[in-house]
Amino acid sequence: MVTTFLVSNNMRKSAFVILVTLIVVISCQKNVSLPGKYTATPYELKVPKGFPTPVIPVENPMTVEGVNLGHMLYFDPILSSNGKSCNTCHTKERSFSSPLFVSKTGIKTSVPPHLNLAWNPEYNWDGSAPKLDLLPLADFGPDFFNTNMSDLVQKIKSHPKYPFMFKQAFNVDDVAKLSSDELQLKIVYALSQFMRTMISSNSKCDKMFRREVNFTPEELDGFQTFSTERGDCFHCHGYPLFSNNSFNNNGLDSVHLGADVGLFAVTKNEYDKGKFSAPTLRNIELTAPYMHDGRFQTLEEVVEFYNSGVHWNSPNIDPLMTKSAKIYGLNLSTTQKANLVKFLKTLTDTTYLNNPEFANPL
Amino acid sequence: MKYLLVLISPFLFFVSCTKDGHEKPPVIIPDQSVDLNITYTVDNAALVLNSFNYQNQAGNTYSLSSLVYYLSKISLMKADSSLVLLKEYQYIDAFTTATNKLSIKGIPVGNYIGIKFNIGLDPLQNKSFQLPATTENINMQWPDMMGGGYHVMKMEGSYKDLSATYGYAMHLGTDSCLIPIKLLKPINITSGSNTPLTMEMNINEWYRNPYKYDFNVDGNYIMGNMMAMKKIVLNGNDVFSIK
Repeated sequence: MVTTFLVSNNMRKSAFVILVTLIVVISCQKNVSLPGKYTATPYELKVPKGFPTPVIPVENPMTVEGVNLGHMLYFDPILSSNGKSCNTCHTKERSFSSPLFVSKTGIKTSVPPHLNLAWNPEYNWDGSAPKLDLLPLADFGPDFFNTNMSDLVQKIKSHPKYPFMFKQAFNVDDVAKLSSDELQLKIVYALSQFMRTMISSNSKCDKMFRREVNFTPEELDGFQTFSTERGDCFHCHGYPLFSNNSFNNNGLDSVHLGADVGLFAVTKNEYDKGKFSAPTLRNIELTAPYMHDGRFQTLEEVVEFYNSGVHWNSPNIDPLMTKSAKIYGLNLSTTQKANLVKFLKTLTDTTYLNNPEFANPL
Repeated sequence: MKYLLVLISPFLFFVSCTKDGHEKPPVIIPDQSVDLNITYTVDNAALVLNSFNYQNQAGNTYSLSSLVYYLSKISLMKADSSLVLLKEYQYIDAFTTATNKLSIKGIPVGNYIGIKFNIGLDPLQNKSFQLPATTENINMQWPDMMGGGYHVMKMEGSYKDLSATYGYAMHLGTDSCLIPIKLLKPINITSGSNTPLTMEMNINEWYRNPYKYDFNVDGNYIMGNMMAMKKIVLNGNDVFSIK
């Protein structure tokens, strides 16, 4: 009996050791798989009063888990081979915009802020990206992340959190079983879900519309220039998006060549030459340089362009840019121009900038 | 009570079941609809986006790059002056087909003498942020500092004179620029009928009667210029005809 007990006890100990070893091996091995179905929690986007219905495609519905994954990935250099993350260029101080981007071919592009992107019908200055959900795909390329996809798969698989987060967000049992295209798509879907949560609606101007604060006399004068025929900014940059979600030729150039053809590059319609996306003016104070090619460094330069620098003979110029037949320019006074800039600065939303939901979670 | 049940039961049986034991098909109540279609011409020419083939009464050669407007209180008129409302308001983009087609069901049977509506929103609706916050409605907002509400119409394009090409923007706004329209035509709505109605806007009528509007003289940009806006408003009385 005693012998039997001893043998049995040893066997139990051995079995226990084997079992624990097995569990450790299984849980630590690289080919971890998370079978079963996970139902993600729908994310309810809080649409500010007065905003239109956001554009959320059926193929990428927002979920709490998808947004969380996107939030992590936005700040994580894991996506790149060069230590860059989305946040490397899109910094909070610049309203998640970035300094002038110069491509490897030398094309200069001003980078619009990541802000209220849920309401854009098209993306990029020339509308070349029809969906936010596909827009970040270009970032895997050599101009940005220069991603090595094999490395990325291994880094995600061996990460302490990502395998479970991909499972939660997209029911991915094993990221290694996804093709590179499939994995990239899941990543950009998560990023776009997170970016759709990046909503600015609490600037001083918003508060003024909600009757919570008053403008200073200078800001009010600037608002008057903005909202009346004096400056006529509102037609393309009206409240609440401060963009008409359309493409316009604002008379920046008299000829349109190369990267300056704008929407024409996408549509091949001659009438679209020189038309660019009208960007939101929210947080415009923080997003220099300005215009599609970043040619203006300050808001004062921008205002002076509209006041006296418009090429009114530019082909396809927006009719609103050629006011008062044959009389050129807005003829704003020095004070009116300065006050217009002061009004534009009321569009700075510090609540947005300091929102902990957009802070680095890593 | 027993006798009552005996009497009612067979009746209930016959009412609830057809001969083959299936439920009776639902009773179809005849409905009448009107399919309203809005089309555009420039005198006898078809309206083509950005085409410079048009000339107004003043001799301005022009193109049209955008035409958006509201119709409101779209109603059928009866001889006794009573109205049947078809639609409270409609945002229309001349170059977006879907916005120019309205199918309205539930029209009462009867004889009507024509159609009545406003170009622009009814004053009760024409208040800032009153309409649903769609991109279209937001882009039609008329600044509070200039009276608030929404644009009546935005018609834009370019025109040529001897030396150059210029833009024009015929923008109307505020209640004072509402344009009431009545178009007379006998419309007989019979039981179960589907009645097509076509209304045509002749763009050149905006520049013809009673004022010959000249971009070079009257202005190529009228928002805030009430005298120029009023000319366009009065000219707008006969821009529509019914086919």
